Amino acid sequence: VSVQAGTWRALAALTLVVAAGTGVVVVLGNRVEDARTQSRLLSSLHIDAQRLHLEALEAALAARVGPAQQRGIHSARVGMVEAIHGLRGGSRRDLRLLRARNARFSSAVERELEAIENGRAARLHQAGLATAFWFTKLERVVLRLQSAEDVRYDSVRHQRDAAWIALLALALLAAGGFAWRATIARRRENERLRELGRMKEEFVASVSHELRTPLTSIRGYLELVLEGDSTPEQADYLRVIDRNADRLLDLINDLLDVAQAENGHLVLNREPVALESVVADAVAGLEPTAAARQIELGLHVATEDGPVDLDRKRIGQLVDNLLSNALKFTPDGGSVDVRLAPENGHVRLDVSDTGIGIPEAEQARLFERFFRASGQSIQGTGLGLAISKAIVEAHGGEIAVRSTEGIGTTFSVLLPR
Amino acid sequence: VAKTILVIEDDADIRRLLKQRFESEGYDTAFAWDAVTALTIARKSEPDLIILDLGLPGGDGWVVMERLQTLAPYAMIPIVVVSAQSAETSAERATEAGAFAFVEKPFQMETLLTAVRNGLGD
Repeated sequence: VSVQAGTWRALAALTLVVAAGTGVVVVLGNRVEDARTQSRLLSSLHIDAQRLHLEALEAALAARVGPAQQRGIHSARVGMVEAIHGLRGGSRRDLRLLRARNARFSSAVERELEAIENGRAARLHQAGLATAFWFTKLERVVLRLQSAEDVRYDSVRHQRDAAWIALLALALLAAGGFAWRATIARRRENERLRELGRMKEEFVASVSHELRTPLTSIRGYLELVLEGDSTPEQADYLRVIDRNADRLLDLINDLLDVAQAENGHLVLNREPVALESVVADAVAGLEPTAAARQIELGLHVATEDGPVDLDRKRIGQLVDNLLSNALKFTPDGGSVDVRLAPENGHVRLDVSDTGIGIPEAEQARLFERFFRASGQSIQGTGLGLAISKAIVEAHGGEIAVRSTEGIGTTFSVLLPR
Repeated sequence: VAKTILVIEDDADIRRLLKQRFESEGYDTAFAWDAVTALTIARKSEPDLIILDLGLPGGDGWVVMERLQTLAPYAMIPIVVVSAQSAETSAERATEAGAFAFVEKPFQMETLLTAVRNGLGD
């Protein structure tokens, strides 16, 4: 479960990082677009400036200003074009420089106009016209420079936004990294726990095997003694020992099953099995026990849907567990009923008894290992229901209990077909 | 002539139990308790059937099984494998390795005797 949670966490972190990355890409894209706009603007400004330069020279020629004035106008113009060039990769400082040069250029033109006014009245009109036209153009250039500056300003703002977003992305990345590390730590912890579980399973397995050998001797020698001469009383005691050796063996087998089930290793040997026959076998096996206590043991089969894919031995064990329990807790003369019926693509197995029942508060804990309902003195390993549940779940099924104290208990198993 | 059963088993109590049982059934018995004695005594006792405990120390049960199957004089002797390992995990492997029968520990004596009688064709 926690591995799954870790995966979700990692996915969430990944999503955040991707979102932040997309933001960064969008902003960077905007920046590139801004830079392109600015570059286009500067290019056109450059061309305009070149054209203005030519027009200024033409106007100066038309006004027949002297070569010194022409050079003055020319150099002021060149300075302005250079400043526009500089603006391409430059900063606000370049714009200030450009403005200064433009001002110098304008004053050069004004000086020329003054000179024209002072000395050459005849050319006044023509030059005046040309210069007026010129100034209009210059004004336009400065206006456009202003907008270029705005673009630059936007770009700066975007840069600041990008910085914030990058910071945010970094923070998210860091958070994602921590989440990732936590996930990995959790995974390691899970692996460690699984390893511990495996070790425990191995330990239980080897201990169980070690216990089987002495049990072989105990049962073997008991058999030998029972066959020989012993007083009825001795024989009775020996049978008690024998019975308890059997119980010990049951406990060992159950412990092995529980250790396997706990570690998720309850290995199933699935094959198509006629469930009716498995149930019938289990019922037949316990009929003598039931008969000895005048318990009516009924089998009701309402399914002929063909074989089900399951582990014959394990399902036999399950039915046997449920039936033995039912018999154990049913007083002499009661009844135990086994029902098998199809239900929504599943097979339903009910084992009902007219036994002592289970207090409602204890029903939920019934499937825990070693749990025993209060006030029961009946022997058993306390593992049967835990194993039954593991068997049902390994088959992808469900097990449930309904019980009323003093009336009886029904265990229901749903197995997928 | 009584048939001889070789019991390869590391647990002394079980060896004694099987000796008592098999001799009361009219069989001769021979005993070994590890991989080394198993092969020596197998050669000396010329058994008609071998009972092999797979749980010999150091996992030697399988080694003995393999030796007995590959050495010419023993290859034809039926082997009844006894193991405290559950039947699920070991029975198939034992049968594949050429065992005549597999009996899970702790066994009912009657189960083992039936396997022995079948193995000897009695």
